[in-house]
Amino acid sequence: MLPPHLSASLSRRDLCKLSLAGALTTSVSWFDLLRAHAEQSAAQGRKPARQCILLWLGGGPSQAHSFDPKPGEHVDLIDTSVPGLQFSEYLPQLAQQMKHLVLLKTMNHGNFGHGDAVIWMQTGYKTRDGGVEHPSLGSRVAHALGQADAELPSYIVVDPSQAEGIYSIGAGHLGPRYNPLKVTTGQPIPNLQPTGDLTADDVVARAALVERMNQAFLQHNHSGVAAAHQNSLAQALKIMRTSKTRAFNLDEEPDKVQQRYGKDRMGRGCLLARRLIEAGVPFVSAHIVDGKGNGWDTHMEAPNRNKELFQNLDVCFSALLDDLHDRGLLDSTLVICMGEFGRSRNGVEHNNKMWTAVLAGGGLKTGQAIGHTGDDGKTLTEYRPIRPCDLFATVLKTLGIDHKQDYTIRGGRPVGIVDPSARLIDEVF
Amino acid sequence: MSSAPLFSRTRVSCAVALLVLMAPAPIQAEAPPALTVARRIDQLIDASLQAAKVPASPRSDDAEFQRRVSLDLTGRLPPPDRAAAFLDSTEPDKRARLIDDLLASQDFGRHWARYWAELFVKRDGEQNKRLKSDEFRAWLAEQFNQGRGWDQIVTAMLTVDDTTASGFFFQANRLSGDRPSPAKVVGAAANLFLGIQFQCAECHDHPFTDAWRRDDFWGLAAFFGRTRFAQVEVNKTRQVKITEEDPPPPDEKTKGRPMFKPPVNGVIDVPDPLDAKKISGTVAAKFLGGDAPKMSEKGPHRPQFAAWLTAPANPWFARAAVNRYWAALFARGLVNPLDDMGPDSEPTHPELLAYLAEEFRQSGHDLKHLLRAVCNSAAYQRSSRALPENRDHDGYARMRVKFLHGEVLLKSLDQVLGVEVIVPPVKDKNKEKDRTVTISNAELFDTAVYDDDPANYSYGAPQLLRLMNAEIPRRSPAVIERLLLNPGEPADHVERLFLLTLSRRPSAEEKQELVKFVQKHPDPARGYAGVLWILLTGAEFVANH
Repeated sequence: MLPPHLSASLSRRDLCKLSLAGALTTSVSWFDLLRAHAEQSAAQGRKPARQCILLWLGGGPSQAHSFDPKPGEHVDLIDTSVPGLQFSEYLPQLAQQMKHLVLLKTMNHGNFGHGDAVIWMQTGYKTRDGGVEHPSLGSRVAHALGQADAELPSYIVVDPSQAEGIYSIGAGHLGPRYNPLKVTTGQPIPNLQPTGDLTADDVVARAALVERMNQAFLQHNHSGVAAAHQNSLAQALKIMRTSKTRAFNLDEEPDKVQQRYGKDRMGRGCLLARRLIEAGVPFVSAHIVDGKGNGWDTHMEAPNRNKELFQNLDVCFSALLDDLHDRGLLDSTLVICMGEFGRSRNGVEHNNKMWTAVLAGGGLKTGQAIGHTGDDGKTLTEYRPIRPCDLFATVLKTLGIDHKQDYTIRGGRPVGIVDPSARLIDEVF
Repeated sequence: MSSAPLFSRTRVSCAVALLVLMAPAPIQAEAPPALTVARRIDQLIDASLQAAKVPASPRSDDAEFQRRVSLDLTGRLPPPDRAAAFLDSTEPDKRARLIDDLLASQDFGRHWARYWAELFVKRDGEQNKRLKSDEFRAWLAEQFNQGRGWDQIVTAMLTVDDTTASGFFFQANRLSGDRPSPAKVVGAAANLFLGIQFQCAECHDHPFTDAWRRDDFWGLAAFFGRTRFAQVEVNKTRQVKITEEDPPPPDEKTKGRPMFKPPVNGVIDVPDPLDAKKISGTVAAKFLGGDAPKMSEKGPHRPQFAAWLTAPANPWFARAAVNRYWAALFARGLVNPLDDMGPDSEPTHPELLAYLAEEFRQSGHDLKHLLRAVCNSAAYQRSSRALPENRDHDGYARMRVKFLHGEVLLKSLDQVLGVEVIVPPVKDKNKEKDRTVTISNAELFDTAVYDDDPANYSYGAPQLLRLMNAEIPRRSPAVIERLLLNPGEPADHVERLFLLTLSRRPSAEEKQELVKFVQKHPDPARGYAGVLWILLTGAEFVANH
């Protein structure tokens, strides 16, 4: 019947299914089942992704103009590389990349205001849930995957706006060690080089004396403060010396590559994200904004702005996926593309009940949409509402981080890395 | 439930009994009261060290003490000339005098106003990130400097009608709409003024104690059910007031808008914890562990709450303040966490806490008296230097090394490097929005979260790079120029730089090494700039030890 090496790997249950399907008499079923089985085994032995890029579409991008359009609304629909899934006409290149994407079409948290919604989607918790400042996803990943001897910080945010402070993208109860380093595309790490006539050699010579004084202070006072300070100083010196900061110099990239990403701000942000991933940074968050620094809170300008914003996103996001794929990094890098919520079907109002978030790469079962939103884009079919904690649990699992663990905070209180009620989106594994 | 002890009265009465038994020898009549209290603190602390068989580190030297007490009481470094004068003084009571001087300085009130304003703001940091606290801080600093009792200050914060200064507490605890949130107000007041984590009971009975039910929480919140912000015109300017009066009837402008209808008779609607839009019942105003007082129909009800909160009979109020100030000085509370002083909490030194709370109450909740007493104790004046036998001891055998809070560090840098004048950039509307991340020092160094542990070091590479590569080299030439106007040898200049930054004189070894370092530079100014850089970048500068 079956070759022994295959039958040995199939359970009794599988064999029952095979015989029920008339495995040897019909042309496709048993072969499909075997292939599905092989894929499932691969998924179970899946190596977790080790790095993550968050493309943050702050302001709330319109799913109706991008990943969840409906016929007869505002945009023409185009086919993607996955049969049955269609994108808006603004995303022709991403449509070809659908095989690398998972669309989560039923995102839901119910918060209307930007501020609280950002906290939901950056931390997976509602604002100060349980009286606790919850850490951002980036801080959690830096905490779990960052290496103590890394030469670059473990969590870098590219192009955040001034308003984005410690409460949404920060480290919360994990403490400031896990706060992000905020950088601007096209610029080096702030204060990386000494001001004025001070040279890097001066700094090294002086720092050697500081270290000796610190050691004496530490020895006498036996204090965590002194040890931590010496640690931070050493890390600062390491960042000044490491060649890895060359990652910030986008001009090292061939012009062809720069063109491919787009030389606008969002293109350069995505290119920087890829370079930082190559340099080993565990979590990079690129805030996707247009040349004027404006994001996705389009409101009445929706029709015009959406076209421009999504067409530009199409270029840089697809370039990023291509590039990661070509460099063999896509399976080990999870890419998330989302904002704090979506928009009403006309793209004007906020929509916190049913919008789309996108996952890519990460070794996930891509090329699928989770949930459908009916003909009107508002009707839940085939799936449950996906809450921020469900998404976070799924992302953490993708990165090999135990999503069921607790942090212990002040006073010995346990706080879940995600809300304990979180349900994995099992379909992606 | 009513039979369950709300607060371990037995513990207090035991402690009081113990105090009577352990009462010290008759006190000399002429001893200033604060010194008497200091002596009592030391008896109790020393007894605990003896019981643990842990030797105490020696007394701090004058330099260590001066820097510590200046930073603790005023958030400032001693100016270098005063630092030198103190070190050289042979007056036997110079430490007690320095404490008095610091308590009498304007910086005392400013420092503690910053401390409290930050607690208020950061309890709800995201919502309050744009809340301006300048006026409140100025008001609170004035209260502290005038020596107003803590009970009166808290009463003023809870009962007055302006939002800018004293009424800041309500601004920091508002709903996302335009009203103070009764639940947030009670949660914050319980946390900060009573030292209890009562906020859990907002949604469910308290998990750690049987004594606090959800109805108890809302019974307190009911005192704030009518509290709202109102726009009024004073001298032709619009101001926001806090009031419990009914809002005016809707006029042409406000017609159709949902109006807030203040509840009457001190009864509050309790929201469904799973759906804030639903009401799960009502609760009448009731003091925690006490009676349901008679409530007027339309208030004001806040004074009743404030009177209960600050009354001598309230077991928590004085203890919470004592514990909080103690923790700010010693980087560890007599109860930890600071807001875990509930019925089942276990103070490390129960008699000491009970004694200090009683002393604080009897002094009229006098914060300066409390701080004067603690700072005069040998426990506070102990060196941070570890002995082999006490380096891992978690008690009061030596002073715990604290970490300079962001604002204190920046103020200290300003003291050393000169105050910086910040010119705001001119905005050009036609220009492409510049998204360069220009993070101000205040933002970059504001790393503390709500109610952080003062020993919790929180700077990383971004802060260090800003200091070593930007702030210090940019601002030090002016300092060195002034330094070199003084006569003297390299050793004298090095000593001046030590006094300026670390408020001490260098050891012989340090002096020798740094003079050698200066002499390696063809341009001495560059050498001294290097010394300044070394002193400001080191752990000793960011530490309060």
